[in-house]
Amino acid sequence: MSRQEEITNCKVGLAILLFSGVYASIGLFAIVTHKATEIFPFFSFKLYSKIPQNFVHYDLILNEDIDHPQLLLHGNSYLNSIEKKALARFLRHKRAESNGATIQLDEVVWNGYSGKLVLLEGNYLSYLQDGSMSVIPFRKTVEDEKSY
Amino acid sequence: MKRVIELVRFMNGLLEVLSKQFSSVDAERLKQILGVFYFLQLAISYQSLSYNAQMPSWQLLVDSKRFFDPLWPVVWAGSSNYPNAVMFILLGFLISSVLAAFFWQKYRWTRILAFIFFLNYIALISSFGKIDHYLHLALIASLLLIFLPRGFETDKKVKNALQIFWGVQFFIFMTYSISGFFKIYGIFDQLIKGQVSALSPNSLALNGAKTIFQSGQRPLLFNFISEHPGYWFSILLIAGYFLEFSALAFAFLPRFHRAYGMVLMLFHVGILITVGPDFYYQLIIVGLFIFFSPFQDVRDKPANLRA
Repeated sequence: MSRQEEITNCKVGLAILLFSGVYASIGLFAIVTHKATEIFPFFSFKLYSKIPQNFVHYDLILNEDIDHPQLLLHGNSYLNSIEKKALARFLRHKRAESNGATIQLDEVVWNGYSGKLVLLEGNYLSYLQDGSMSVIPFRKTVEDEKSY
Repeated sequence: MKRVIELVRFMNGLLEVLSKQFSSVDAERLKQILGVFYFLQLAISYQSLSYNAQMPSWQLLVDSKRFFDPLWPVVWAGSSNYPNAVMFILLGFLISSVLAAFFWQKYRWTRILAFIFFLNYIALISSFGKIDHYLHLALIASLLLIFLPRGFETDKKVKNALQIFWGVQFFIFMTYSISGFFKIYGIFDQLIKGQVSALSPNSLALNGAKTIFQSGQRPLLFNFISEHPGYWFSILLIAGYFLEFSALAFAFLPRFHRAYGMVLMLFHVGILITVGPDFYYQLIIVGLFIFFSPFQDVRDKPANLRA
């Protein structure tokens, strides 16, 4: 290998390592800093890295019947793929808001739908076997927070 | 100082790998693979206009302005006439992909244009609350291939093109390895926290159950897996983790590219029929860059990687 070739190889090799290193570092940044937001177009390397435990999801209940809930997100085939993503984002924001103890989240309006915020709790396998999950009305106030 | 020496040794090993690999590779084969890549990008741009693809239809994109929360590449679309911006991205993606499919060898600007519109398109469909990753590998490949030389007339240009190609392969292997690392780390993390981990006989079924809960789609073998929990599934799952984690080593083992590429593709098939996520485009990229690797017939191993 000539000296010129060595230098060229070295440059390309370094460029490959540098690019891959920078890409991986930025992709890992969100994980290391525990930030929920992803940086586009970087992979979320932690996807499927853990076995799902019991679930806790937020949803909107459109009727008053906790035993036979009509949920806006879960199991609703009338929403298209973009509406589902947008609603899931909306619920994530609500969840983030609820970390502050001063808000009351009773009636929520999203895209013309009005409902109450609920927590869906259960085990993924049990749910698939017999449809069992708990639908818990979400009402978090200062008093609720203190009572925990 | 030790680390610097190690880095220099690593770089020397890398150079040796590159030089050994590139001296006996068929340039025609490389051209065909790259041509197929740009054809694939054209096919994706075609799908972006259809109603039967994994990505949202053009009509749905145009009608969903109220949910549009733009990612950085498409911020401009939010401040302009939104339906026209969507049409511009879709048609620009198609036209630039056609140009790249025709002229990728001759004109670098066609590859740049194809990448820019590809980036805009993926950013557009990811600007509604969730970023999907199924086209990320193809996008990064499109970015790296911008640096291909113009034409393949001389040995130097062919060698340069092979280096870029190897760079794409390195990147693909790296993403699998990091992903595998976090999955292996996840086993220990969940064990320490006393949670259900990959060692549980239900681990594979739980992964599948979560996908079904979210998407409503049942993978082919899910019923069997959930009805017959066992440690065989844990072994299978953890073997998959190590398969991913070991990927980077195969960047330096060209004669195993074909075999490892097939194993990775089967890995994606396994994910689809047990857990559910659809990595169709990822499978094609792995097939194109790893399974059909132009380095697969190289037999010489660099001295410093020899056992």
